[in-house]
Amino acid sequence: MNNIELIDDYLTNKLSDAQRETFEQQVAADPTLKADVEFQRQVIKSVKNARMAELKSMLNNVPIGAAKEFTTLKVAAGIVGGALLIGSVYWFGNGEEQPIIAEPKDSISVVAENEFTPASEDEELTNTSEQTTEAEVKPEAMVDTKATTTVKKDVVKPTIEVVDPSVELVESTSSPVNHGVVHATPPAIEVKSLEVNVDSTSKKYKFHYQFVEGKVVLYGSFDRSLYEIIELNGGKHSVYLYYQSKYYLLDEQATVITPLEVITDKATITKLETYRKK
Amino acid sequence: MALRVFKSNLQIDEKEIFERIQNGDEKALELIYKKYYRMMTKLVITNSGTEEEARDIYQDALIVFWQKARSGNLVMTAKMSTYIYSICQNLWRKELDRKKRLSHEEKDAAQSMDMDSPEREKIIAKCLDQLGDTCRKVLMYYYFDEMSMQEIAEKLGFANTDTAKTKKYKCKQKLDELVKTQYSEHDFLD
Repeated sequence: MNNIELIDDYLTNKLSDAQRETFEQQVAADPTLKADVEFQRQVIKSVKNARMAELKSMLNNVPIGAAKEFTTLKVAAGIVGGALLIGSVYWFGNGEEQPIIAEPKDSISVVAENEFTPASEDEELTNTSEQTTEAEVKPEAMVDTKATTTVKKDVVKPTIEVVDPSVELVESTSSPVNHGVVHATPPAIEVKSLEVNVDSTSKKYKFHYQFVEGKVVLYGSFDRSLYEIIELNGGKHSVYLYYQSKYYLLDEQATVITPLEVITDKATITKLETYRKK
Repeated sequence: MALRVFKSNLQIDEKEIFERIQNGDEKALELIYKKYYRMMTKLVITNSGTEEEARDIYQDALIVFWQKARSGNLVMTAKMSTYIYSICQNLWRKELDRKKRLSHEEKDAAQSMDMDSPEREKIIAKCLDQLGDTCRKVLMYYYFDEMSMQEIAEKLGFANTDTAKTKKYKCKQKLDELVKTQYSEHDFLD
């Protein structure tokens, strides 16, 4: 294998661990080789970027209007269907000025990871290093692309899932086997496509909520960290808010602005904790 | 315990579309692009993004998705939209972080860091265009789409994988030469 091919294989992650190690030692000891590698890296990166630009311009030329009706219809159907997702959902407020999802350490990437359980460490590593040239562009996205060979069963388990508005849910087809599991242990937790809005502009209401036409409006600076809405369908239907390690009951009868009151009942907290973590 | 409610009506054949994407069918990518456009752009728009940013993020997310699907390292255990949605979230959060940083003290640092690279990239992109369509495609398919030689051969109508291999090798060599010539003209190579 000549140098060019070797460099190419190295940069496209086709070397075995041992080969890679040897090669890296060579590179470290040989400035010319190092320069070659850098040059190739740049060329490959640019080829990739050129391809990305090409795909983007292709997408830019796709007329969106044509799909509008179709999509809207599905979204609407999803809402009507009261589509559900497993477990806890992170909601982001609507119509907000502040960047709600700007907290770097918050749960977004966690969400993705839980959802797509990485099955093989090896592949994970391979995948990550393979992406090094693009790492600076979108490492976050790479995080969730780790998932490679997730076992089907795992779909049932992850409890944290990204809120994926209606369309996704309407299309869910996976086996209804899950129902059995659910009925065995009431009350069931579910996260609905319950709409949540955040209003952080109000001076008067700093930690309040209300239900307006079936939607929850949260008042306060909820943009600071992510919150979750948990719905329990047990004997009776109830909605809870989880925010900064505390739980709050969201009374669906609360059609006027009501202060959020933290739940102190230990049994309830334990119960919610269990559901949220599942 | 978790509950999932499934609805089978209104379902499109996700599996088929995903397979088409895995096989590098750009039409399928266009299809899902249209399909999820509103849903995905809404995520950004409702989180203080403009329509344009939303479109940009969504396109980037789809391309990440495309690449992952293409490389064969992605097994869909959730809906495509769930997956794409989470990519959008990550990308947008990153973009917001970047904007936040830029508006602060690191503005200068960030700019100077990016200074040399775009120019070189432009040169390489130009050279890539000069190679001609086939070479350009071979290299793009190989490096970005991570297609196998077999796939490249099929896609571009080469006789066999060896032809594809040779083609790739020669195209890459030609590109390297072109870029090096350009670089020396621009005094990049000292």
